[in-house]
Amino acid sequence: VNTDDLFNEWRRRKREPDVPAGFADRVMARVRASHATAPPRKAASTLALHPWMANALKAAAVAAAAALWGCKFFSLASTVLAIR
Amino acid sequence: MDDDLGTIQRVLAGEAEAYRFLVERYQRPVFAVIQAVLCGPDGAEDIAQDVFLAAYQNLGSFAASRAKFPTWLFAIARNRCFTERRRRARPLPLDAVADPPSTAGADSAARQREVREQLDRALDSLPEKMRSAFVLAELADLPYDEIARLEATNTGTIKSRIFRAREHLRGRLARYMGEPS
Repeated sequence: VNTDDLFNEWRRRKREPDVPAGFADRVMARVRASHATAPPRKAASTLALHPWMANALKAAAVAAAAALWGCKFFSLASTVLAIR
Repeated sequence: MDDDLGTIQRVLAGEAEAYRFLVERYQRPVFAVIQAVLCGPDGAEDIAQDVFLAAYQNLGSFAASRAKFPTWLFAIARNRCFTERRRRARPLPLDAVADPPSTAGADSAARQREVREQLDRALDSLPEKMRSAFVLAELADLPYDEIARLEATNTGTIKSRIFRAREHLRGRLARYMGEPS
């Protein structure tokens, strides 16, 4: 038996542990007790975004702010030039 | 996975019994993660119960757009296990010396049991982040990108951690078997 076979056999056993008999029943008993006092509720609606969407929104906000400042700068500069 | 979302909606609508479907579907991989992180079955059932109960109580905050249900569940299990590990004891150093095989003529079953114990000890000696990545990928079948999101790092780092964990385990096994690693 080579080490690869032994390693794979160990991993297979780790992936398939014995689950104690009646485990789901015991969990459900605790779930029912919890449900009686505080049932789970859908959290108040929040804007759930994928990370790339959040990053895109942040980038867009930064770009918009930069553009706004740019416009203000040129507006101020043209006003100064007009006065002179 | 659509079954998971449908079940979650039923539970949130007040049908608590529907949660049994999720418990029975994920109990084995949750036990696999818990036993691998804790290095053995001691206390695994109590922690597994706590994990499923915590998931139930926080089901309202589960956001399917951020993670799949098993990823979210394994994250709860992983965090709970590492808290328990820190409470129990310090981990072994990474290169703790392996014991040599007990007897050259031992029967095959006993030899294989010794090999499994050596690998368990090697897994137990891995640093927390390396062990977590290895367990979630190899025992819970989570894709690398989901593990990366869960560990707040990038996929390359996760691949590296898993590779180094495998190398460490195989190296330990090879040394134990007397092969060049």
